[in-house]
Amino acid sequence: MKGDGGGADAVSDEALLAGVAIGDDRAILAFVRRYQRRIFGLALGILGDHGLAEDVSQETFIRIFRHSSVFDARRGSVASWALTIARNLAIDTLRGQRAIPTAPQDRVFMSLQSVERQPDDASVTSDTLSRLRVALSMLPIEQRRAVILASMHGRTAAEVATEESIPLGTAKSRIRLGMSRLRESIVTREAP
Amino acid sequence: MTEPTQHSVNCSEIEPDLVEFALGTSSGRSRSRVVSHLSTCSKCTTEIETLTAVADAMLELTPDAEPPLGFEHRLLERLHAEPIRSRRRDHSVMFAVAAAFALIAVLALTVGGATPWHSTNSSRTTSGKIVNARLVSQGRDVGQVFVTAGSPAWIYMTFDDSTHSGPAWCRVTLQNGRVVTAGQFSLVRGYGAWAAQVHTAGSRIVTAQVIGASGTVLATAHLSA
Repeated sequence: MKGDGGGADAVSDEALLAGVAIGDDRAILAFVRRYQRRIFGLALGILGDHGLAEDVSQETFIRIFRHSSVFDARRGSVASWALTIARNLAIDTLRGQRAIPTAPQDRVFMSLQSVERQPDDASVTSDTLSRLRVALSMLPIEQRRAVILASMHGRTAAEVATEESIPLGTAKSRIRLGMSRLRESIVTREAP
Repeated sequence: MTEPTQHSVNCSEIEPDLVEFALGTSSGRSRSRVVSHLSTCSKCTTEIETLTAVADAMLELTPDAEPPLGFEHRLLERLHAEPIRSRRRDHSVMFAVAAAFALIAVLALTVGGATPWHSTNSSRTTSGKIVNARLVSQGRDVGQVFVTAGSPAWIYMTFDDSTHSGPAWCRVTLQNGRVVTAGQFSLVRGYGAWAAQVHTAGSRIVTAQVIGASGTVLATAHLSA
């Protein structure tokens, strides 16, 4: 990750979170610098509004810091945990807005095709993401939209059906088929 | 997907619900069915874990975006205005921290190199103001020790070795050779997690040891380079 500054660059996410949990100012600053672009990017992708995205990002960090002491590494990585908090807050915010933006998923959908991670993300995790990105790009467009709406925007199958003007069964089918293909890309990676 | 379970719902019946469960978009009823099924089906539990990994990774595909100017400043100001709970540094929070570390340690011990710890062959990592080292017993990793570098230091320890139970003590050795008993904790079925303040600079702590009830050294972590 870039921009952490000082010796914090080499610190694992978990160790950094441990520092956050005890209120270490340097750890907090390093954590913010490590994750602010990712969290803001996700919030912006879901909300499509810079002001709302900043509010959600700030609240995400506050919640991460407040709950850092009970982070459960068995349930996933720090990145997944942090981004899930951001996603849920963004979805809550979106649901709190009466008007749903026209098509926020289009922004995510378009950007997914060109996004490139930072070079220093070269790791097993990056390999997983690369495979997932490729698999996502190879999905039929209707499945891709359904999966993105469900996974990133927290839409239920019924909501996907409404937004895409398709029957509920079709929405469920698209989500399941899409996720199944993405799953295969992960499983394939893990094979020796 | 025909693995029988103790419940009336079998794998083929629950399969359509797994994706939405992993995505966190299932209904309450569906979620309840899945949870009930997973409690007895390792096959579907593995499937859920894989699907959840996909769902989590999807979030990481979203492109980064530069926050507005002043974002960091505003966040830190807000943090100072609303101190996070852990800044009170009370003991209950420290135990919660220790518990979190315990979970991390369990993961580290169960999946080995898959975790992102920076523990090295030298069993020591300096990470800014926190040092992380392995607790070793007869060549086996049995836990982790974390020490903050400042003074007074905080030391957090997790210990997991089924061959020991009962009370245990944490003993640290400082650079000047002085030995300090930092605190006592209990090993329940070989497991214990513990945290306490040590009235010295963390950078002066050379080793941390777990001492059993008989006075024997159960494990040692080397915190010096």
